[in-house]
Amino acid sequence: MKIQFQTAGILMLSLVSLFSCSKNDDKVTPAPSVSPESKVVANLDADAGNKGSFTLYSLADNKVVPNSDSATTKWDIGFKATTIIINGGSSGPGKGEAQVVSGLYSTLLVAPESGYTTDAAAKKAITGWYSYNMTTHVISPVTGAVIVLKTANGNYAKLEVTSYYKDAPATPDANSLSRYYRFQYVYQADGSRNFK
Amino acid sequence: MYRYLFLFACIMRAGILFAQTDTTGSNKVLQEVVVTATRNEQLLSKVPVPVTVITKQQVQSMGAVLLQQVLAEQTGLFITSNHGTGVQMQGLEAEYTLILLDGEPLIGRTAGTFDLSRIVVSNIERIEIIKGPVSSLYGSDALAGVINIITAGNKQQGVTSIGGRYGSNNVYTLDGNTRIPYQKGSFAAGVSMYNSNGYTLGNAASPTVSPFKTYTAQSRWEHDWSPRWHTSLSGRYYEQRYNSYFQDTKGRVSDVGKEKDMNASWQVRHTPGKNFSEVLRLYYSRYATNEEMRYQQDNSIYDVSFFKQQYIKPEYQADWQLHPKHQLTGGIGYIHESLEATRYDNRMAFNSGYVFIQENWKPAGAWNILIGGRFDTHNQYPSQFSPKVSLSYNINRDWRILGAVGRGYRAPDFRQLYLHFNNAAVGYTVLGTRLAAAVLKEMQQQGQIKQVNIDPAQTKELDAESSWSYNLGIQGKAFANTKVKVNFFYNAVKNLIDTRTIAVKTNDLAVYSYVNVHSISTSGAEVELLQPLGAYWQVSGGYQYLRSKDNDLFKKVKNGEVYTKDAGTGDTRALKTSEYFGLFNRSHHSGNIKIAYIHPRLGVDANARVLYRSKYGFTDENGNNTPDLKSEFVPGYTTVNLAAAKSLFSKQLRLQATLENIFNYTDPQHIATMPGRIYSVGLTWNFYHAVNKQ
Repeated sequence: MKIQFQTAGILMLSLVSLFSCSKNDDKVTPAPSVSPESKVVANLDADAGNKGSFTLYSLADNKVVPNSDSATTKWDIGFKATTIIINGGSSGPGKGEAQVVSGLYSTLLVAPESGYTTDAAAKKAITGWYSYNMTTHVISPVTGAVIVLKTANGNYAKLEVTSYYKDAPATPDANSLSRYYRFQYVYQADGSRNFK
Repeated sequence: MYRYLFLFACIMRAGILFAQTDTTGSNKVLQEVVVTATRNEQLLSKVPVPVTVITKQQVQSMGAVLLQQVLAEQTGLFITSNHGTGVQMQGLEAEYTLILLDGEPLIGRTAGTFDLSRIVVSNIERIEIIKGPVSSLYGSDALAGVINIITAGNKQQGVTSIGGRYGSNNVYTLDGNTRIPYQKGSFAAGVSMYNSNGYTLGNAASPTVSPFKTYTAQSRWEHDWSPRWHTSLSGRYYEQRYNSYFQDTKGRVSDVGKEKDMNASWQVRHTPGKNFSEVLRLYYSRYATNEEMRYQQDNSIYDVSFFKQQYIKPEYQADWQLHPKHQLTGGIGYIHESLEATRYDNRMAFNSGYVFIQENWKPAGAWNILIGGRFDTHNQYPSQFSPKVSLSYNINRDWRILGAVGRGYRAPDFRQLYLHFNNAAVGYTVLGTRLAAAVLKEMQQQGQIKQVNIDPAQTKELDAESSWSYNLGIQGKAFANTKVKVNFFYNAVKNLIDTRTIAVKTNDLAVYSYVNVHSISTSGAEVELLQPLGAYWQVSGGYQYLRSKDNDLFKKVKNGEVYTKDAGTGDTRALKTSEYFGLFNRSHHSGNIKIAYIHPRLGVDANARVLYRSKYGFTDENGNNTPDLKSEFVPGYTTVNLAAAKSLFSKQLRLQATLENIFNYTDPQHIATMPGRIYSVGLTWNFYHAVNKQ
């Protein structure tokens, strides 16, 4: 049984590297009519060192934005442990709004028209995306929880967190390194709600 | 105090009584008599309800000390651990099984569970188990079934015994029991002490089972004043103390608790003629706990709580043989229950009245029909009517079919009606439904409420959880001597009570209250076989197949709205209906095989029991409310228990050794109730007296 798991893990790893390869080749033409594609971000350090700072990310540019730009609209989404912020409301100067919908990432082809909220100091727009196991202390993404958000400049994106652990082990345990996000997302640059 | 004096006096008189031998006839009961299914004595082979009887001898040959050890080895029953050790029956959790002691309900449930480790089985006569609802006779909680622990024996043999047992984890017990029959009655008394040093599984920060010590004393006096008048008086006292600790951010906290439980029952039976008998029962029970948690470094208080529950029930019952084919049983009763506890505003009281009626109709030789119902009226939740029809049909001399349809219910408990709990540390509030409207209004006036989600004034009154249940089975003898029992069951339970956020406080935390929401169903089949092999050997086996589902969740699964992570691709996809495993803590398959060797002449009895349960859902890690990942399950397991005993000196001395869980199976992460391999040795000395000569 254990052996099967290891192979699954290796598979996952190779998948990660596959995706990360493809990601680099994609910075060509941002033609608005072309359907946006799903990108994978792996091992995004979300305050693994417990320094209390968010890791800010630009979905539009598919890269990490330095914290010195936190007061700008250069970033769309930020991660610190299990807390996810968006660039809007109390968290940033952008137009960010978000909601968590229940569905399949792959078949969610149009963003919902309404239901978005922005960040407030006490309550972030993105909640309920993970589940905490009290006995093993493992954080698992809620299956079927798809984050739909408006980015800093008001474009739509959908995002699914697939792991909270380094190298996305199939069954994380107490020894797995946490606060490393793996997620996939689609960013629609043309301002429409279409993810197709 | 009076009771102890009385007990003492009776023991002192034992010598005198011993001289008088019983002269009334001891009509040897050739066939087993059961009482739980109909509230009057019926032959087990005739009663149209499947009843499982566990005899004293079976309990003794297992070497069981606590009730859960006995129940754990029964087909279709599982021991659960949730605020105490409970039992799951027909796939329904511990709160749905009523536990009776000599026909009277035992009180003191924590979050719905009656802790089975409160019952020491050293002095019981037998246990009767009925699966399927019996609310038609017993009212609330008898939804999954009833377990009746019977201490009263009608044996004419006087016996005094003392015994002790010592085993792993420094578990030791000491018992003394006596039964003194005399010409017109009998007196029985017993005391027992149980000590356990508990155990810690894995490298847990606090004991898995904390050290505890219990004392039980009980007595029973039965007397025939005349051929028409019979009384019985019985009492039981139980006390438990435990000593635990746990780690808090500010240091180690010691947790010391005390649990006390007592009950007293007085019955007068009047039998004016052959066809009529009536009985008046008075029952009182009290249950109290005290718990103190203090920081060990400075003895400052972490939490102190108490709980005190009282229960009084007068009841009248009449049994009337109207006609050779019709026996009518009817009763009327009243229950007053009260509660005082931390987290409750005042002393709370419940009053309920009830009537029940049952007709046992035997239209023709092969048929036996039981039609009954009970109506409970209550001052805190809607009245309940619980009808039930059971019937049996004898196909031939060896085989009979049994079927039953009935309604069961479980009343909302004190907590769901009256809890008023502000978690100061975290900041949320939990309100019982009866208080919710008033307290919420108060909180609104104080400006503590940001938003109301559900207006408690608008919601329907909290109703009892209720079920309709169907059982169909066949019992008989196959081949020469193989006893076979098969039963199919289906339970549909609705109005399950769950917590919901009724409002949001200004601190963004919730105000919770209780609502009737879910509905679930459980279904399955149970098979039991018993085969004697030669004069001394016996093999028996049991198997249960069980399916369960949360109806709303299953509907969502059907609609493709419940998601899982595909083990192969790692992608999220809809959970297939075939992948829906069912409710948590339910194994699809379970079974047991027992081999016993009993040689009365040599005074030897030995047995081996193999118990199996297949994997079951333990937790939800990925937020889809159903077990679907491998890590969300407890793997299936098998345990093997052994016991061997030898009697000496014309059965006066009995020595026993037991070895439970010989392959030392443990699963610290999931199964707290399994400490691994357990050895024990026991010794009982029986002093027989006042043997009936007839």
